[in-house]
Amino acid sequence: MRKHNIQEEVDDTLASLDHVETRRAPVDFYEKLERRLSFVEASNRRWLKKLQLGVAAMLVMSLLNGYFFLTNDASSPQETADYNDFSEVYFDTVSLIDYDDE
Amino acid sequence: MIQSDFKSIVIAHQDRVYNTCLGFLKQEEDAEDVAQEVFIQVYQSYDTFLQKSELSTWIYKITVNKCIEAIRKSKAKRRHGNAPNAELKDDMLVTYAHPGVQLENKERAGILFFAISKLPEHQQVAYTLSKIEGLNYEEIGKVMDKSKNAVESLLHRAKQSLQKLLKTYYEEA
Repeated sequence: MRKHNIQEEVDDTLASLDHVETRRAPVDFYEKLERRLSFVEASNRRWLKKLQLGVAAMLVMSLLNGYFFLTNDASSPQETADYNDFSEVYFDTVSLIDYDDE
Repeated sequence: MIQSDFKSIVIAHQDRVYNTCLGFLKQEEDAEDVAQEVFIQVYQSYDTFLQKSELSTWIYKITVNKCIEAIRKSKAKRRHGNAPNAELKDDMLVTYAHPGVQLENKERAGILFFAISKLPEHQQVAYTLSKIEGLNYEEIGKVMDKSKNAVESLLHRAKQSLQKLLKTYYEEA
């Protein structure tokens, strides 16, 4: 294509959208939208219900957990002393293996 | 939100929203689908609308964002499907047919729409709002949260890029 023609084509192409006709939304646009909106709302409600159930279940679990924790924390002073002894022996014992030859 | 209020908002803005979606997406079905998404968003977010801007500007902003989202999704889908997308191919122009374009301009408009789709996002938005919606710099600025000068510069760069893209296309044709 010659240079002059190319520029002409470019200009015509750029002008091709100069008189684009404005289109109107389809006649049943609002009715379709209403149907879609009620579907979206119903699914949102379902999701919210699931979320509520999930939170309620977690709450019950933590309450039960707390309850069992508090009721079973009845260790005797003797048991506690045993645990402390064990802990001292286990954590405070120095390694018996001597890696140093000297 | 009260149903009757919502209905009056939809009735007042549906044509403009639909037309803007059509300008960005070029396909009637896609435009209708996205226009409905816009109003669903309006319905869900109306209580958070702070009336800092006009209602129509706020709806326009949602429309532009939804259209960009849809364009990004379709680009990603095309990329995922390994479809060729870098060149102006005649067979792809069918995808860029706007129903509001006059018959004698259909082919050229298809080429122009495809070239517009190759512009950076901001230029694409500014050019479409100016050319298809006929918005002035100030109105475009409000929708895009940009100053009048910034819009002017965006449109200038968009026109330059389009000139270049189209020149290359016709030189290769």
